[in-house]
Amino acid sequence: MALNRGLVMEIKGGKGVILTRDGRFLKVRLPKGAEIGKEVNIPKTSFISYKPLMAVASLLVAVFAWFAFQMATPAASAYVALDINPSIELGVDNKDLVVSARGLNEEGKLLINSIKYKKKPLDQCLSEIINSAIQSRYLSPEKDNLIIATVTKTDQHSPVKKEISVDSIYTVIRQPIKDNGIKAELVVSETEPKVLKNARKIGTTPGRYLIQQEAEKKGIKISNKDLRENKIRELEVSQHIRAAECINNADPGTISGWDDKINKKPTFEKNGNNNNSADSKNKMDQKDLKTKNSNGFTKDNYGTEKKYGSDTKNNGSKGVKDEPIKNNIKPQKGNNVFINHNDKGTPEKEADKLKADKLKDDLGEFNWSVIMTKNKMGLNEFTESENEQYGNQQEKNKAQDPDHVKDQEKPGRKENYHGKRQDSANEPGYQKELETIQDYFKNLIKGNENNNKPRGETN
Amino acid sequence: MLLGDQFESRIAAIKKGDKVSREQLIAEAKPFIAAVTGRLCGRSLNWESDDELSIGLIAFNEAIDRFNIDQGVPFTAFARLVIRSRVTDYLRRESRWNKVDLASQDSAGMLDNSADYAASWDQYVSEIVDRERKEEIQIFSDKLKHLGISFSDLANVSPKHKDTRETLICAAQFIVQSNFYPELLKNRKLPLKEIAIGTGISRKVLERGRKYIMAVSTLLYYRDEFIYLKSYIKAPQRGV
Repeated sequence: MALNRGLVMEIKGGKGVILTRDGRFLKVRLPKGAEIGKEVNIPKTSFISYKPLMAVASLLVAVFAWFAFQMATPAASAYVALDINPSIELGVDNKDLVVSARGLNEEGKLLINSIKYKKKPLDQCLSEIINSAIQSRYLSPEKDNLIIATVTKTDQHSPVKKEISVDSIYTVIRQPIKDNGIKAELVVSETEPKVLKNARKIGTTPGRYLIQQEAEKKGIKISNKDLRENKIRELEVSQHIRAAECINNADPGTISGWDDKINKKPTFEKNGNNNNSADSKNKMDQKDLKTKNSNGFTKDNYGTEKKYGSDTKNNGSKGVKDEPIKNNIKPQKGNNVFINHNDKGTPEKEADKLKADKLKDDLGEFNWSVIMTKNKMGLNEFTESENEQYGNQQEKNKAQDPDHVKDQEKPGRKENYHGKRQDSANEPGYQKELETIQDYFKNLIKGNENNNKPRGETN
Repeated sequence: MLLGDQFESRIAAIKKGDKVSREQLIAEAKPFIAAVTGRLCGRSLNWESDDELSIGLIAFNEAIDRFNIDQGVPFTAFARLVIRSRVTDYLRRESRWNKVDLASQDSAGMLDNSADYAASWDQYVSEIVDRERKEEIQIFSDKLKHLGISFSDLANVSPKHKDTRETLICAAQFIVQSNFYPELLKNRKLPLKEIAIGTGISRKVLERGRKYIMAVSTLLYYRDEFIYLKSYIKAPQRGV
């Protein structure tokens, strides 16, 4: 350390003024035993002039901060990127704790600011983000929701825990969506570190980057800004692409599926007791549909989740994940029309089901028109109960009209037109109207029982 | 006491055996020796009649041999110290009261060149030097106080850059050489205008270095009193 030799001129406490050999008067911290008139050696650092010290200190702080940032970033052994529409990137260390989080677009930044993510387990953090997105109405029942999650393992050597697998993330994200009764398409995929690197270059998530890449293969250009800030659904519409398909093309191991309320209801095809002509036709139609969906995007509206391509293409996917539906029977608005529809077993209930199916069968045309009218009139409150009818109706229509296949693919889009029904669901007016409708249907069922008994029995 | 600043470098040459230079230096130093010895004795001395001056001259010669630049003591101060020490010894020996005892032993010890002696001599020098420096600082401090300057003021304003310092030292030299110092002492103000005209240094720089200039010019004006302190103020190579 450089020394400054100087003559002690003045002593005040531990400090003093020295006169150095080059004619400077300096305020310094004096060593012990210093006396006025003695020459002392002063290390340069004990100058009391704080200005250069401050400059050095602030520089050090900046350098340290930079290093800390550098250290913190590679500390993540995996990155999980979410596109809800807010795009968020979470860095996860090898203990599955979230060590960093970045918003990759404006909404993402807002969202991440509302969450304390530091050192939280990944699954907890993910659910918080999804819940927050639901609260902020990025995800809401009336929207056509799409969530893309990508996992990128940067550290290939360290054993990455099970929690950062495609499957577990799928499950974790699915849970809050399910709990909130939101219908969403969920795509979870694993990407190469290279993809993450490229995505970072344009400041977005690997998911969006893949969409851009795949779109480009098809000759569709998406600008980086659009890619960052626009909703993926909007991109899908404006660029005529399918996001899920794009990502699936890039990574065959992608899991995707739909989560919505309808999932919780049994499908008609699974209800073996109701083999009436319409249902069997339905079944056939559905199979038809699946084969027709040659792009590999299979989604049936009735509660099966499938891995991509498992039905039609089988392009290296991990196999069919055909979950039977869990019948958690919360009384749901949609179920009210068909009393205890979900419960199998007791003869009484079986009878109810019969009634219900008959109703569907017989009143298909009729309900269709009712729904249409209501939509036109803006009476959106009934969508939940109608949805089932509506879907059923669509199936039928499609059987007759192949043009409807596309509609069947994206039933959620239809739902967009129903507006803000969910908000008013708890209002007394709604309940009252629901009851009237229920009564109306019940009456119809009774009427059917009386008039069409022979038909019901033949089935 | 008209000793220049370049002593230290000249002594290095003399020590290497430049006898002519030594003679020259001693000749130049005669007034200095006379002044130091005279002050010690409390009367003016005459080269022809007073032994004290001869002792002083021998002491100065000894100082040249003994001088060690690494000690950080200006040669002037060192020479003065040696002269005073030797002359005092001489006076003691000559005095009736101390004719017999310790003084002669002391003197004998002084001439001994053993390591013991060298160590004690060094200690003696450094003690004296410290004391003298302390006295100088005290005097300097008082003089500065009169001008309304404290050491911490100086620490706050003393220029960090060597160039600036040299510029201000130039200004101080100008003040002393142009005899502005008494005026400065009276007014406690720098004759800024005159310095600016005389040296070509901008007023702004002068104003900023006001206190530093005043302090340095004090050291330069009383340079005989501030042998030690003045050695810290290196005059820049360029003249005024």
